[in-house]
Amino acid sequence: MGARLDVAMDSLSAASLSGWTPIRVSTTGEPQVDWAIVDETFSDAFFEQTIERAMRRPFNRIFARRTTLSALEGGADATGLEPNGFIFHMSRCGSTLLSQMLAQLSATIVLSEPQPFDALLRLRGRLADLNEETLAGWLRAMIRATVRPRPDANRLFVKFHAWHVLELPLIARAFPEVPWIFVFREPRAVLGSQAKSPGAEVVAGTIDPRLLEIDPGAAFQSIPSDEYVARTLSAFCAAALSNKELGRSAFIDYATLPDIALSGLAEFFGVAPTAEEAKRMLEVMRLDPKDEGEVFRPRAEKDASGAIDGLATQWLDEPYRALRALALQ
Amino acid sequence: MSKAGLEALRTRVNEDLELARRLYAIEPVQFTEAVTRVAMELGCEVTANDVREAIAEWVRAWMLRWIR
Repeated sequence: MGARLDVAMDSLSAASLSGWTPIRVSTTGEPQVDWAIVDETFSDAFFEQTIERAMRRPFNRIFARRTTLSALEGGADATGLEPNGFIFHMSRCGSTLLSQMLAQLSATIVLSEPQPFDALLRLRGRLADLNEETLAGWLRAMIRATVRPRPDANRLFVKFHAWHVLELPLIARAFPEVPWIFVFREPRAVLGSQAKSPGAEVVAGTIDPRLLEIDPGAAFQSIPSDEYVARTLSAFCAAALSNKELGRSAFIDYATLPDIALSGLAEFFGVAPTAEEAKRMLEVMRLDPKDEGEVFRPRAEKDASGAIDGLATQWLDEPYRALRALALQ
Repeated sequence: MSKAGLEALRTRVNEDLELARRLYAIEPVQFTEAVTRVAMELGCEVTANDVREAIAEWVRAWMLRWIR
């Protein structure tokens, strides 16, 4: 028996993917989509956690399917839940907590950093003749296929990876009606967190350096790693600022969490949490999703090292000031 | 060992969402027995060993995917 991950792709009738969820897109060689049955609501802190649980079911280990990207549009249900809001962020700024708070709203699904979206956004430049409209169409189809209409859900938020803010024009083209927010934090705190435990997105080579306006040669040879982090974060902030007129946007300062989620942010997204929902949202604060067992509170910026202070001054203080001026209060 | 039997069952599952959901819901400890029984009911020749092998192959492939 050949492993399902290596077998020839399904030959599909258009309707046969109804009820199946795209769980992963492979981009080595011809892009392929893996599909599985995922019967639970997406409510984990990260998309991958829900998928891991689904893939523990023996069924998916035998019957998971693989298709080309074209099946995404041809086979996916024509209808799906339309997103109510997108969450972009500069990393290490409370966006996971925020998305988990939104997940406490009744009948609400939150897709948090779904791999299939990341893979699609990385296709640009890899596929010959791939145009913006096709890519935008795939993003729409992926949303529809991932979150199908269900009686227990009528609201959908998507939290993106930090680097996806660089693709805001494409995402806004695919979803022009969807309001979006950008979450940010005092730069020295973000740089300090990244220095302590670097995220993949700030390591040279994980994102095309040209998206960050960094010369690819310099990215690996002449830019120190801590400066690369600062320039990456700066590019994220700059992208959010320069695209602020694309659709409805709002900017959320980490320092205003969690209260802002129940007031200005809820209003921006057009939701009015009930007393019970507000209680659940506040309860999430007690379980910082990245620091289990710890009570969340905005952490004060500690004294930054001289190096971090210098990088923040050079690359991030200016966009930070601009973001603060725009932040919801 | 019957590759053809399992492929035939896959085809049936792909065509029948209700069947897929029924098999999905089976608890791991009962899965092998339940799948072979369902396969037999549908006229597909699938042994318990086929099911175990398929799962083992999947685990190997999944691990290799991260190693590559």
